[in-house]
Amino acid sequence: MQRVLKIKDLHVSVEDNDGVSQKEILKGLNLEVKTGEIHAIMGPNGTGKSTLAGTIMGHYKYNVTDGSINLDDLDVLNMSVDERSRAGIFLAMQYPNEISGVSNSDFIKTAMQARLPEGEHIKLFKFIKELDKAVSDLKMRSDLPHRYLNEGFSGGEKKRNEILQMKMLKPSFAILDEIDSGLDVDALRIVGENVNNMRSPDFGAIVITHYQRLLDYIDCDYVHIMVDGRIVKTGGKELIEKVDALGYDWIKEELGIVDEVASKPRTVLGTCAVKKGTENK
Amino acid sequence: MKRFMKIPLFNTFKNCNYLFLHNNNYVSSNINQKDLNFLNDLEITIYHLLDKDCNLNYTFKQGINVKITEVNYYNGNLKITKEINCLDNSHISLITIEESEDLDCNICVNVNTNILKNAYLDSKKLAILKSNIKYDEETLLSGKRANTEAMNVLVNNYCKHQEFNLVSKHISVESESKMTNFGICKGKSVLDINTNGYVVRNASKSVISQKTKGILLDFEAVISANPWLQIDDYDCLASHGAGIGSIDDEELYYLMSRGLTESESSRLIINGFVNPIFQEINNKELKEELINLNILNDK
Repeated sequence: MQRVLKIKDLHVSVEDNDGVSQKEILKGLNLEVKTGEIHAIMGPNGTGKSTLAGTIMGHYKYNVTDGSINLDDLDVLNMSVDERSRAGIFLAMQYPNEISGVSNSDFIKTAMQARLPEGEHIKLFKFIKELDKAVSDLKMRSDLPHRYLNEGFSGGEKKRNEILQMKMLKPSFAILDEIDSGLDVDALRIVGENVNNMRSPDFGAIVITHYQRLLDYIDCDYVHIMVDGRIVKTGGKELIEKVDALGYDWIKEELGIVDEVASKPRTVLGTCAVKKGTENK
Repeated sequence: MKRFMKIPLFNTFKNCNYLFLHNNNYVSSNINQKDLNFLNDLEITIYHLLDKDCNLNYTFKQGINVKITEVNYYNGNLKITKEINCLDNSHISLITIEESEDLDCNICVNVNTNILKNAYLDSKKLAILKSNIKYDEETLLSGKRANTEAMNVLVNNYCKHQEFNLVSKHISVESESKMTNFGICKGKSVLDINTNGYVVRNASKSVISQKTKGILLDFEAVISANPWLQIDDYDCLASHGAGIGSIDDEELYYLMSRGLTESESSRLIINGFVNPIFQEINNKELKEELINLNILNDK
C-alpha cells in the first residue's frame, strides 16, 4: 500500500548564537513524498536542508513553531524519535556518531528486533545471511560489521554504514543527508546503485545533495530547490544540470530572492589605526 | 561448594580451568593450581568468596604468560589486602569482576601491584558492587620497561558511597602506564574516582596517561573525578583528563533514530563501556551470565 509523507507549511527555529533568541530556519516549507518516488533536494549552504532532515527525524534542537508533518494519518510531530523510526522513517546522517563498545552488527540486530512485535525474535541465521549480503553489495570490508559502531571508520565507511543500516531496516521513507560527502568515485557509484536498487512501491527517498554526481546514479522523480528555508522551485532532472552549470543565483534572480546576509547593514567600527609614513622618505 | 553454587556468577566453571577459593583457602580446582602463586603459563578462572578479612598474594614467576579471569564476591564488612607481583618478563592479563550482594556493609580493599623489569600487566576491572567501598590501588612500576594498561569500569547503582583511589607510580626508566576509568552512577549513588600519577626523578622516558569519564544516569547521582600528576623528571610524557556528564544527547538521538527507545539506547551505550571487558573473557558461560546481569539496576 502506498504511503505518503506530507509536510505542510513547516516553520522551524533553532537557538540563535546568543543562546536566548530563536532563529527561524524553515519558513513555510511544503513537500509531499510518496513511496515509489525519489525526490532530490538541492540548495545553497545554510538554506535549511539538514534542518528539514533533522526536523523530520525529531532532533531535539529543532523547534517546530508552525505547520505539520504527517506520515499517512500519523502526526509525526507528536511522535518521539524512536516512534518515527519504527513508523518507517530513516535518516542517513550527515555526520554519523561513533559509539564505542557497541558493535555494528549487534546494533543493527537490536534495531531490527525493536521493530518486531513483542514475543517475536529475529532469526539469527537469516539475519547473518542478510547482513553478509548487504555488506557485500556495498563492498564494505568483511570485518566492519564486527567493529564498534563507526569507531575508526573513514568518512566514506561511515556513509556506507548508514546505507547498510538502511538496507537492513527497510524503512518506508529514507532521508539521505549529503550521503555523497566524503565518498570517492567508486564508493559514490556503489552507494548510488544500492539506493536505486531499493526503489520499489514500498520505498520513498529524499536525497539531499549539493552536486549532480550522486544524482547520476540515482534516478530522481522530482528535484526541489531550497532557498532561504522554503522550496522555491520543483522540476525534473533538467534542474540539476542547470544548477550544476549556473549555481543558484539565477533562481534567486528569477524569484526576486534577496540574501538575508547581504541585505543586513554592515557595522563599521571606524578607524582605529593609521599607518604613518616612514621618516626616510 | 554448595554455598558457592548459590552465587550465579560462580556457576560458570564447567568449561574452563578453574580454582575456587574461600578467604584465600583452597576449595576446589580441576587443574594443579591450589593458590595464587603462578609458575607456568596458564589460563584460568578464579572464583573467590570473601566473607572474612584476609591477605591475598599473587605472584607471577619470571617470563610466564598468564590470563586470569577472577570473580571476587564480597560478603559482609571486610578488609582485604592484595599484593600482586609481576616478576621480570612476565606477561599477565587480569580481568577482575568485583561483586557484592549485601547492601548494608562496608568494604575496604587495598591493592599493591609491583611490576618488574619488562613485565606487562593488562588489567581490566568491572566493579558492580552493591555495598559501600573504599578501594585503594597502587601500581608501582619498579623495573625498567615495566608496562601496565588498566581499564576500570566502576558501576554504582545502589545508592552507595564508593571511593576508588587509583595510583600509578613510576620509579624506573622507560616505564609506561595507561589508565582509563569509566564511572557510572545511578540514583542517589556517590562515586569518587581519584587518580594519582607519580614519576620520580630519574624515571626518565616514562609515559603516564590517565583518563576518567563519568556518566550520571540520574539527577541525584554524584561523581567526582580528581586527577593528579606529580612529575619529577624532565624527560617523560604525562597526561591526564577527566570529564563527567550525562549520556551524550547526540549518541542517544542516533540510536533512537534507528528505533531503540531511550532506555534501550542508554543501556546500549552503557553496555558499550563494559563490552571491551566482556570481549576479553574466554569463559563463555561467565560471559553469558555477565551479559545478562542487570548492570543498570533497571526495574
